[in-house]
Amino acid sequence: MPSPFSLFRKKSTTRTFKDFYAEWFDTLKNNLLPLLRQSLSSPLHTLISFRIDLLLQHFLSYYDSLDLAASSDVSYLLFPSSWRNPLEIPFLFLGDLHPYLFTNLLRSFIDEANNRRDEDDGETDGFLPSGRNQIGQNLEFLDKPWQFPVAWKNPSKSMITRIEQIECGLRLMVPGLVSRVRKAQAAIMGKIAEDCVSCEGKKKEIDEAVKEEMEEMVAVFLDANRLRRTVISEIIDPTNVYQGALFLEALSQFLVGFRDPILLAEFERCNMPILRFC
Amino acid sequence: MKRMMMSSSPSSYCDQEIEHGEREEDEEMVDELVRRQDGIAERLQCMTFYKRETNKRSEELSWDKYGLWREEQKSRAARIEKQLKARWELEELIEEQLNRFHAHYNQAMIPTRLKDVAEVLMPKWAPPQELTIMSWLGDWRPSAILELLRGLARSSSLSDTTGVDQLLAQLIHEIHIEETVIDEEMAEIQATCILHLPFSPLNCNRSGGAALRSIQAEFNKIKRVIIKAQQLRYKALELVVKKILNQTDVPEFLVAFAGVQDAIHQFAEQQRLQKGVATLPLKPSGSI
Repeated sequence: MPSPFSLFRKKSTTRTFKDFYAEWFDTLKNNLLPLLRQSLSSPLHTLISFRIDLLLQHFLSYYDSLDLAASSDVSYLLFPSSWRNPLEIPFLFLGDLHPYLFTNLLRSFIDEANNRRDEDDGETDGFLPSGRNQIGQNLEFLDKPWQFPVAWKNPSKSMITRIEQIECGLRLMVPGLVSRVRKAQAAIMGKIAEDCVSCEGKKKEIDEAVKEEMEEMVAVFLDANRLRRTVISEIIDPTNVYQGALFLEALSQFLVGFRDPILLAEFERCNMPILRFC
Repeated sequence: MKRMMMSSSPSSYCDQEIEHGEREEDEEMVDELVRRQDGIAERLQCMTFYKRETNKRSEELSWDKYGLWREEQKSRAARIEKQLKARWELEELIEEQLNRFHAHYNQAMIPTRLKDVAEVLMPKWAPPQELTIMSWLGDWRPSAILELLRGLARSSSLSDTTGVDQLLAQLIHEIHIEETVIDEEMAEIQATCILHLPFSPLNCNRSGGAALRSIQAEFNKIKRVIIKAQQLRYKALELVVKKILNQTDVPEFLVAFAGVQDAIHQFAEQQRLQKGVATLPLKPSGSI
């Protein structure tokens, strides 16, 4: 039994991950994202490199904190139903964004810019405002100078090679994470069946059966976070300042969108049956 | 067939003129002995009173014994019949239980509204630790159902484990493949949602109705994955009950199945109360 004072002691030295995330999200939405947008829309792109770095560090610190908190209770992070909303939950893979999502975002920028370029080629060289307006229809919230949407045109060969390397690494690593979770669960179930059924599932026996496999779950979670952290850093690394700014801005906007109070209220109220057309 | 054989037996023992062929082996032997004794008695009519008296007594003794034997058989058969009826009831209970699982997985736990999807995938009624231990897309991992059976077989909780281990290894392998296909389908949705959700950087469906419709489209895909996952869960359970285990072991397994889930739930609840939730030091290093 925990000491009756443990609750107060905990309160004085720690905070829940839920509180941390609320604070982290608030900083992202109300501080760092507006600052980056400000730099993007300013003619001189004031402080843009500095602000990209701030945002990047903010993301990396989030993954560091997930790792740190995992040792106290990895389940609370793997199944965050008490601190993530019902719009976010279905899209979580091992407690956070799927690592493929980052490269897909990057690919979508390149595809979008280059498809548009093909369409624009007949009229312009792609660096004139008309080119910007077409893309701007999809990125109207960005409100940035015209050269940003075209930042992804003609990506260098080395950048494409780098993206392919990252994607290849992910294809090798991600299935391994999934199968490790499956193996850990199989091992727990096998142990519980062998050790606990005869002794009517006493807590002590389950505790022992679960302990070792929980360590593996923590290891899998840390590896998933390492993968996410590495992919974000590696994407920012070969990109130029505009590409990096666009990528981080889009990623931030995506996270902020999940917690848009108006959309969320509509979502919660919505009684539309799903699979209407099936 | 078994039912017919057993239910007709007790009353037939009362008739002494029963044909030879209708009797059990033991009864045939007893009858043969009785006939022999009768024959001997006829041939020795001239014997002394004393001798006749002895013969009569042994005859009475054997009839008494035979009567007792028949009584015992009658009562034993009645007891077997009672147990048999209990077994039919048990079989019905098992069938009923399987139907309940079918309805639970394939109807009750299929989301109908958008917000139900999260509740099915990450149910709030289950403590997170319970989900870490055993959940896959919101409920029992299908291959873990078979792993539970493998554990039970190894701990000799079951009566007949001959060949079960090998059959289980093969079925677990097959279920793993099906789980992987469903996992990949889910991963595809999670990895590409950034291209389709209304707040995605490249999505232009931002207004109220269009935004909800694009969310609905993504949730439709997830619902299809959930349906497949629930079907696979039921399939694993059905395999255990109908294909792998014999009639004696099925109840044993179903009791363990519910028992293990309950034990894990209790354990996870205790853990949640004791450990609380994931925490961080108040002032972590870095730029948090």
